[in-house]
Amino acid sequence: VASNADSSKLAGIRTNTVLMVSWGLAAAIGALGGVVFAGINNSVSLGLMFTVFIYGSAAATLGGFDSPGGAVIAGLTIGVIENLVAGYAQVWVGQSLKLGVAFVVVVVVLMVKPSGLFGTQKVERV
Amino acid sequence: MSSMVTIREGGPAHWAIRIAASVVVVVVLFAIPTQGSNGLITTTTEALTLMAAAMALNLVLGYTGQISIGHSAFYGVGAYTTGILVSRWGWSPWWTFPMAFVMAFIVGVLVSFPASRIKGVYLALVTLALALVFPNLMRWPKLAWLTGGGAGLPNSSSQVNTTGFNIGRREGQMQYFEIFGWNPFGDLRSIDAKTPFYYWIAAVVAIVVYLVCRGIVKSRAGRSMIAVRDNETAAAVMGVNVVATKALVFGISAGLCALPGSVTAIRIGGVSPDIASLTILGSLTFLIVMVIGGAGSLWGPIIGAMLFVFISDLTGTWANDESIPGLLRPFFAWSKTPPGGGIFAVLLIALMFVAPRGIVGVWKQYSPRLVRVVPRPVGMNPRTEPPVREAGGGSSAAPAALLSTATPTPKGEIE
Repeated sequence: VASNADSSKLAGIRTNTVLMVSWGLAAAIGALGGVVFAGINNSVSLGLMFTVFIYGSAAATLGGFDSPGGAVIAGLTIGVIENLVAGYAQVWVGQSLKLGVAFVVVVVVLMVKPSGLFGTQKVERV
Repeated sequence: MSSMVTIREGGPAHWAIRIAASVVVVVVLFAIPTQGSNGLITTTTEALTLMAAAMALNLVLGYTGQISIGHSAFYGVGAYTTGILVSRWGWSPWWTFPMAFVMAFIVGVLVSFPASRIKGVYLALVTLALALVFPNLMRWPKLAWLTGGGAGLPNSSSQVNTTGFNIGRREGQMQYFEIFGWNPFGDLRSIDAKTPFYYWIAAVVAIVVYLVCRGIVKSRAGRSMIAVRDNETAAAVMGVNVVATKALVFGISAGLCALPGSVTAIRIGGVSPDIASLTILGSLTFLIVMVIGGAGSLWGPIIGAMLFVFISDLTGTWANDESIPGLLRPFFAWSKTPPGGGIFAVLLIALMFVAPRGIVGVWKQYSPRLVRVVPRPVGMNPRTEPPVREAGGGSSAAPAALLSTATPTPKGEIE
C-alpha cells in the first residue's frame, strides 16, 4: 500500500482494510508507550506527550520509516548523543539547545542518506 | 457539466468581474478601519498578518509541494530582525522590513539545501526541527547579548524601549505619522489612531505579499514550481532546474513570511521566544489556515485566515454561557473555556472529508456550473482573431509559444 495505493488496489489488496488495521495497530502500540511513559512521569497532562512525539518522530526518521529495528537503534543513538553533548558542553549547549543537537544529528544523517539509516531507498518512476 | 455563462479570459466581461472584485476588496479594506470598532480592526489586523504568513507558506507547500512546518522560524526571523534592529541600534521600523526579508531569504535558501535532497515526510521533520530549535536558539544564553534571551526584547540594556514605533509623549518619540505632509491618523498616542495605523501596516504587508505571490505563480518560475510539485523527476527531465527552483521558492517564501513577523513585533512592541506564532504552534496555525482555505490557490490562505481569526474571535467570549447565541447555547454551554479551538478542529476534519482541497477547492469545483472562464487560446494576442491553422506549419513554433505564453493546465487549476 505504501509504495503505490492504486496498483495494490488493482492487485486485489483491500487498501481500506489495510489502512484501518495499520492505524489501529499504530494507535494501540502508541497507547502502550503512553502507559509506560505516564508511569515514569508519575503524572498525566495534555502536553505530556508532545516531547515524546517530537523525539519519536526524530528517531523514526533517523532509523528510516520502514525499519522497526532502525527506529530502536536511532532512538538510542539520539538519546545518548544528545545527553552526552548536553552534559559535556554545558556552557555552550546546556539544556536549552539539547533538542537542537538531536535535530542536527538527524538532519546531517538525512543529508547523506535521504531515507534514513536503515530505510530502503525508493526508486521513482515517471 | 454545462455552465450558464461562458466568459472568455481577458475579454470585457472577465475584466468587468476582475474590476468589480477588486473594488469590493478595496471597499472592504477601507470600510473596516473607518467604520468598524477598534476590536474589529484589531481582529482584522491579526487576520491580515496571519494570511500573509499563510500565503508565504502556500508558495512552498501549495505550489511547490514541499512540506514545511518550519515557517514559524522564518516568521520569528522577521520579528527578531525588527526587534533587534530597532531596540538595539535604534533603526527606523520601516527600514527593518527589507532587512527582515533579506535575513529570512538567506535562512530560507539555507533550508532549501537539505530540501533539495530530502523529500516528503523526512523534509517535514527537518523543517519541524527548524521550528522547534528557533525559540530555543533565541533563548540561548550565549546569544542573550543580541536576542535578550528568554525574556526577549526590549530589555534594560537596549537602546530603545520598544521594538516597534516608539509612540509616546517625550522628545524623540513618535506622535504623528506624516506622509508628504499628509497626516491621515492624527495623534498616534490615542488608541483610536494607533489601531488603524497598525491595521494599515498589516494591510500593506498582506497586499505586497499577495502581489508577489501572484507574480511568482503566474511567471515562468511559478510554472517550474508547479511542475516540481506534480512530478519532480519528470520536471527535472523536462529541464526544470529543481535545486534552483526550490532555493528560490524557499528563499522568497521565507522572506515574505518574515514581513508579517515584523508587523507582529511592531504591533506587540516587543519580541520574546514565548510569542505563540514564533513557536511550533505558529507553523501549525499557518498550515491549518492554508489547508482550510485551499492549498495551491491564491485566495485560499486569505479565506482560511479570515475564517480562523473570526471564528476564534467570535467564540472568544463563549466561556461565559450567557454570551452564547440562543440557538447554539445547548451545544456549547458545557464548555468552560472558549470552544473556538474545538470548533475549528471539528471544522477541519469535516472539511477534509467534504472538501479535500479546501474552501477554494469547493468553489473551483462548483463555480463552473454558473460561470465558466475560457482560457485564451495558446500563444495569441487576445485581441486578434484566431488565425486559420496551417497544415504542418506550426510544429516548430508551437513549443516556444507554449513555453512563453501558455499556461500548462487550464486556468482554473493554477490560480
